[in-house]
Amino acid sequence: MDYQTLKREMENYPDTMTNAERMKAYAMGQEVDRIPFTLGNAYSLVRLYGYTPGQYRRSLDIQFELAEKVRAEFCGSGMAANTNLSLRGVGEALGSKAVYPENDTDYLTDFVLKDYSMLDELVFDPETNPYLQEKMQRARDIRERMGGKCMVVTGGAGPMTTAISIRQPELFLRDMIRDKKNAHRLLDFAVQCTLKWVEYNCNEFGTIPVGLADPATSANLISDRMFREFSKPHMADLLAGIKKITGSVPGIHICGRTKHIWNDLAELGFPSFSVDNCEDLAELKQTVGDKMKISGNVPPTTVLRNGTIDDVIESVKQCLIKGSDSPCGYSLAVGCEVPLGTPRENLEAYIYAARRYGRGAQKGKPCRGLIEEHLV
Amino acid sequence: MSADKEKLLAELDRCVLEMEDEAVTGVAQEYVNNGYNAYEGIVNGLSRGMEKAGELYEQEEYFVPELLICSDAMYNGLDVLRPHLPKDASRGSVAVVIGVVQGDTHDIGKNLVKIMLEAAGFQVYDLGRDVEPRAFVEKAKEVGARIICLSTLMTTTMHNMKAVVDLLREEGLQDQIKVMIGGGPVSQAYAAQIGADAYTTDAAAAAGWAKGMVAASQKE
Repeated sequence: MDYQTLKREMENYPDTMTNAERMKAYAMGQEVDRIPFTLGNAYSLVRLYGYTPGQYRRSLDIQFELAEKVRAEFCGSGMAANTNLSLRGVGEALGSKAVYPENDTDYLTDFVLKDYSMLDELVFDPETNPYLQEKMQRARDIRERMGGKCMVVTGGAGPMTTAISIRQPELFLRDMIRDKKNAHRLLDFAVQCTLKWVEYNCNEFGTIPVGLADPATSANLISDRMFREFSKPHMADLLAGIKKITGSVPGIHICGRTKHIWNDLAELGFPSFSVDNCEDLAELKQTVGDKMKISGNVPPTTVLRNGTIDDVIESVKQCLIKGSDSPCGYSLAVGCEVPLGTPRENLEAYIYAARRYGRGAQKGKPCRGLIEEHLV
Repeated sequence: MSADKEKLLAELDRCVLEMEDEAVTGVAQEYVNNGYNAYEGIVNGLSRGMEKAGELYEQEEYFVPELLICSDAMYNGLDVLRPHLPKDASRGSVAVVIGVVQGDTHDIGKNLVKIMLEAAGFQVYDLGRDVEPRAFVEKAKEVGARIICLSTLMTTTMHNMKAVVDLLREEGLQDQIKVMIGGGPVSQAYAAQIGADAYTTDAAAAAGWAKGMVAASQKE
């Protein structure tokens, strides 16, 4: 399909509910206009609007402008204040060195914990830490600019991912065999830092949604045995802590291979799990679809960024066929972050396919769009 | 081969495979004290253990932590054996240039590939991370490398793999120097698209392809 045809076809499938109405009705088991989906945040789309990631990071004006454009053009949910520490924030707050390239995503170059004798001296205090205070101030500024009527969200990373923002990943992975006691100490410290942050945010902004990701816990790095020995108990502590603070347990995204730990994730009580495109959505549904809401998993690079309009439509269709009848619910998502530089027409193709084949979505049932077009 | 030598070679192999990164030093020392050939100690002892560890990694018995400690054992053993190699021992081994492409610093995958290539007997020149395209080509020319290995975990930096392939073409070196790529967002299709010679999915497979490529070119 060419872009002109896509634009024309899209007009046949308008949304008839707002994001909030759809989410609420879907959760209650009612049929909604189309499958709920996520398509990343404004940051991933900066290049479409002629900005660099650096400009976006520095300017609130640009963030507001893009939030509005992404809301209007790509079904975004509008401006929100986000204090999520993401994958590297705890490490950076503690003194790991981060680099923020003008045209790219940030990364860490030096890790603060060289030696475990330093661990007791590391202090994570949201009240006095300049990096953390800057995050808070930005959220306050956004809220003020919106007259106090602004959604605030926060979050962080799972224990493993936070640990490797504090200690060099290759050293930490060795510690999991050679220095287990200290590896557990660091994981516990990682959890305490994240919980302090969530609590500090909730004290200021009230009970707010928490997001979690834990790419470092995937089978691309560690075995399921190690997951159970190291990651799982500390993840349980993190979830219990978040539940105590906010009253609910957040969902999680883990990049990479996760098949061997799906049952563990359900057992830990995650209400939802967003799966990488390297795993099979149908298999995920069969294994834990009756315990968690699932989402996924259009391949971000090969399909969304580098594929054609038809590749994107086909991939969305396959995801809906495999996932949309999952018993605890399903939302369409990309297998990981939307890559910087993804072309507009592919993002529109994703939305088009979600609206067309995902029309008439209801928890536990294949979308009506799939049935009417004889795809299931 | 004497029974003692055979026993020590098997022990070097076992120390690497079973992550005995401290015990390996004593075994390697005993091996050289007995006057046995250091080169054989590497090829038939340490490297063999590392290759078996690589196989366990491919079979998902071992993961990254295990492979890192096996490599610590291999390098500890090498520290003992290398000074006993004849001076020209590295002559004849095939040179490979490896690095993480510009804009990316995720280097665990690259380091694993380096380990497996060294275990397979390649002379590896590691340019580290965040390496600009021209540096790969210049280094490969300087050391007479037959292979350039490029790694990235990020979608935003994949295009720098193509930049290396293009530079080799511009200089007419694409037949002499092969390019192998790997990493999270990369695929066989992407390798074909940018004209890279190979895409491999993990460190053991990368070393396997490199060995196969060299063997095939020697038959020609």
